[in-house]
Amino acid sequence: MINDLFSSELQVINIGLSVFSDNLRTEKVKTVQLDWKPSIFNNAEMAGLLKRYQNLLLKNP
Amino acid sequence: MKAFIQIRRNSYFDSVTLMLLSRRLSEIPGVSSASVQMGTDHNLEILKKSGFESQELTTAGPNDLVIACKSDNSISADEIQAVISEQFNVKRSHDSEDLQPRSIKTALQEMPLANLALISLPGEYAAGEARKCLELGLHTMIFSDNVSASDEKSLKDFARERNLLVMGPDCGTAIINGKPLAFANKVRRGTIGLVGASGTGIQEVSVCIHKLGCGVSQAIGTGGRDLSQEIGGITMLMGLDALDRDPETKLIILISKPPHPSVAKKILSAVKKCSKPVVVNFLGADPGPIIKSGGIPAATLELAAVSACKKIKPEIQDLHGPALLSSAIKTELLKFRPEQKYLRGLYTGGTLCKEAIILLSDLTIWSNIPKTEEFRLPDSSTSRENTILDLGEDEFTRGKPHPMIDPAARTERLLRDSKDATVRVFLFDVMLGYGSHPDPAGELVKGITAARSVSEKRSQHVSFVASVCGVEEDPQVYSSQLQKLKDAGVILAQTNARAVNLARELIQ
Repeated sequence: MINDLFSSELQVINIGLSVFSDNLRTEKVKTVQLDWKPSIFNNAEMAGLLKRYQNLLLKNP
Repeated sequence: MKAFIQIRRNSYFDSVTLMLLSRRLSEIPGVSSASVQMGTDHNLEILKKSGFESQELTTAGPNDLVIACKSDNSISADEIQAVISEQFNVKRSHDSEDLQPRSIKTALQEMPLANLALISLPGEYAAGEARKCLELGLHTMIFSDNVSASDEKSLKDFARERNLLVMGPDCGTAIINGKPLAFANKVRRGTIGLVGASGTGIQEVSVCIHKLGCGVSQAIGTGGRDLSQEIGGITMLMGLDALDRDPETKLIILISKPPHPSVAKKILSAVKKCSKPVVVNFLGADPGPIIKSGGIPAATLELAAVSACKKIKPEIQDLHGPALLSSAIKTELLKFRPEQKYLRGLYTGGTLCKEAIILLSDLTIWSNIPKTEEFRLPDSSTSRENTILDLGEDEFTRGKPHPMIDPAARTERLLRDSKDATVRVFLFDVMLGYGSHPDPAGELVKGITAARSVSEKRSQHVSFVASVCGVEEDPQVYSSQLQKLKDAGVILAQTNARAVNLARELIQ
């Protein structure tokens, strides 16, 4: 529920620009900064290869 | 010209870090261009088009950092390398020593009561991560742009089924429980709730509310596309409903460009059902349907704040501050030469730019975000007659930071337009708050000083008009930003709408 958010302490997981975490901490907001890196599955070429591999498995179980 | 290319394998950095390094490299005497990007296919393609060709580049992937510079013979590769090493050492010393979690699930183990995810990844990754956050029950704010409309729709449908909020994509501003998120001002808490499809719109309204002595309960950003036909206003409708139920909120303000007609109908029918007064600022929209729905129409962002505050505190008349000094305007008018006729508005905030264009719609205003297509600038890089520009639009920010973060693009444009002998007035917004440049007024003054000396060489006097969107509690400190502009001879107005009216008086 959105209204639960309004009545709870704001606690943030920040994924991306670390400056946003710094600003939230300045405002005394509990914040966890994610050490985010693109996964190989976000890479179009890798995702394509994976898809082909899955299709092969489906055809030849 | 020599090309310097370096690939750092498996080194992911956020865009602010990349921007800082890119700027440092560009500042080296002898370096003509510098690019610091992750090695995504799109970025590698841009590098190729910019004339960077090397076998090594073809081996770079999205996890690899690619640093590319062009320089003349006055600088060696070792000197460029020294700047890169120095910048990364600064970054390392700033980063906390804490081990950061690598997945959202691990982050949740570390902070089990987390209730909101703030996502500012490159657009191609944002929707996937937002989906994971929603699946784990987190409300989500997506600052990233370049997320497709179909991804936005599917995320918002998924969230609505679970009663979760999705603010964005392309949501620059929110204030939840009094805490500013991304680009927001440190305004006091109070009883006025905002739902806005525009970051700078929310900033201008919340700052006006603060200056009038009232406060903000919650400010929900929807992202710029929420009120399109495809998305259907999902976040605005959910936000309106949540604020209607919220005991802290006594009055609600909706802020947006005019929604798609089918969406406007849905929003206004929700306004009709709302148990609290609703002020509606749909920039440039016909007030008729708003009045019919029981809403209170407001033609400008300032008026939205004033109408709301008057409802809360009937004794409030208007924003306090110096009245327009008509004598100062008259004095200014005597200084122009006959060939000086035109206005140039250089904006960092998109909605403030739109508001200026709408307020001056009785004049011919050329723009990159025109009121009607016939006044679209054929080439955004060249102003003509009266021109008002949104410098935060894609054509100005491709491969560069937004001008609210780094106003260099505005300074550059100001200098270029100052060479035009037909210009009489420059008009600016100065955005303060978290996320913005630490000293936007200082940066603007540098540009104004240089522009003034260009016009003085032609024996011309040019006027500079600005409004500062910020409060004393903001990191940049409102009064000190104001003082810098005053000292530089800038004519200051309390709000953007007033600055626009001042500029109008100066070009009559």
